[in-house]
Amino acid sequence: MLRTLFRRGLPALLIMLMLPGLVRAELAVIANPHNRLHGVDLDTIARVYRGEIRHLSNGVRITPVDQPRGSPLRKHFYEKVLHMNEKAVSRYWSKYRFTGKRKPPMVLSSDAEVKRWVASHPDAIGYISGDSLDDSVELLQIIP
Amino acid sequence: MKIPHRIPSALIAGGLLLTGLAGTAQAIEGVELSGYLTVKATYAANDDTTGQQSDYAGGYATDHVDFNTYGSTIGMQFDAELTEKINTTVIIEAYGGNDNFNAKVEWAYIDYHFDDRNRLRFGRYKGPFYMISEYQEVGYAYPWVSPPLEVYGTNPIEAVNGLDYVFQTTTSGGMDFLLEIYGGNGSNEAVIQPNVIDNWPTTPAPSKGTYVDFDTKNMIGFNATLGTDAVKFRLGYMSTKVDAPAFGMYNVSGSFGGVGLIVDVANFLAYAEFVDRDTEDRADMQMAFPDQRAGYATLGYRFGDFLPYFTYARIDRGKTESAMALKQSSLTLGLRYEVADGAALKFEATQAKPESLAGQPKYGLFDSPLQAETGTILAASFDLIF
Repeated sequence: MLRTLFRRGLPALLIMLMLPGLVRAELAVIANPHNRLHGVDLDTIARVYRGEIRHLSNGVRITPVDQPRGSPLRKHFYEKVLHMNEKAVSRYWSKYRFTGKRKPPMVLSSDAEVKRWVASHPDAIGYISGDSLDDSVELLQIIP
Repeated sequence: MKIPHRIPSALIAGGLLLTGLAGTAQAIEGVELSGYLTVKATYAANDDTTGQQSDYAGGYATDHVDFNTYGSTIGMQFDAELTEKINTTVIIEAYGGNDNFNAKVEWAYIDYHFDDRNRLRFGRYKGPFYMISEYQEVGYAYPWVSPPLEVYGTNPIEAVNGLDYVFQTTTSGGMDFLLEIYGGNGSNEAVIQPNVIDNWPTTPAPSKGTYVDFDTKNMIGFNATLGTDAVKFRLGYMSTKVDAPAFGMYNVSGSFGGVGLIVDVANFLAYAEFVDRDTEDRADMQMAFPDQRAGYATLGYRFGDFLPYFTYARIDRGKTESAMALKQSSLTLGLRYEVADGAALKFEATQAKPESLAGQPKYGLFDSPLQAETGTILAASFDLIF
């Protein structure tokens, strides 16, 4: 009983203590709670969003979803994680997409859509505003 | 299921056809639509030695501005993931110039992913013959209005029907390595060289700008790239057997080799490529598809949304000296402007200097030898991806 509380309750408590920080955080990289993605670093996330890898080194499938072109969240994410502005992202995909060698992330229409998608697809990874974060998804990384 | 909507509103406003098709795609579960559009206008008014207009590069540029030009293209790609390992892709393309914008299924293939490193593709796909051959139709993907014609004009092969094995990995040092081995066959069209028409053995000779069909068989090649998104080297080679009934040739061999480099660091951009077309050493083949070597170097610098660039390109004889080989050098000044995310406007002015080979008249890439030492070609394009 006590052990269960420690195993489940303590992390939950820690997250709750972190919540005020999360609310201020601009961007949260999220995954499906059933996926085994704990500890995925930003470098790996960047490679997933560049279409270089479709699986983690442990063999888990990872499928990225994107915010719409032009949204402040998307700009922020690409600048911070991939170090590319949106036009550079378009140029990048124009070279790869039509050769069939790499595939860009699927684009969803809003924060709520991304959260819903990630919550309902076990292999999904996405990013949303820190304000939208709740327990339907697992937090992977905070992007300040 | 949701499909990505990467279609800019300007395009939706611009094309009922597009939105209609996008609407169809949205109704099909799991199908993703993307595409590219290039509208190109070219102009070249140069007098030949008889005072007549000399067109450029098989009708690429003439003395009337025409939007139904070579290189104006609309392409729509449909991707569907059938299973985690199997993907299908269909590209429908309508091409200006010789094709008159008749839409057709240009490429269609199935991809099998063994894992993240190994992939096998079969169907009809764009061959990686030269550095940017695979996305030659996607104008937005490169700086120029048209990839340097001296180099890209030497390979008229459009597609491969066959197999393509791709191995990709990232080295511990963060370098991407790709090795692709492919093979198959294909049906293609090539414009007959103007100097060949002027020396046609029988009358009447075909008119300039005439295309002939030819088949490629037993194509086998490789493509390798090494580097990062900032600096990437490329090496490739492909050999094929050719049937060209218009020239009465069957089972003649030819090969295309090339090395290339792309640098895209900070605001600095450089492209350089050298290619070698080596065809069978027999009189009829050296007349129809002579040996050629060609190369170019492009340097550019991004000032915000503006990318001015400069290209030096050259085509010269290849291994075997053929009287029909072409020789010219050209200088191009260009400007690319990012109109919006996914849309670019480009302008280019080229000064081409045809040269003589083996005492032959100076054709270069022109339809007939020029009066002047050099000819001028202007080109502009609007390129979109969605």
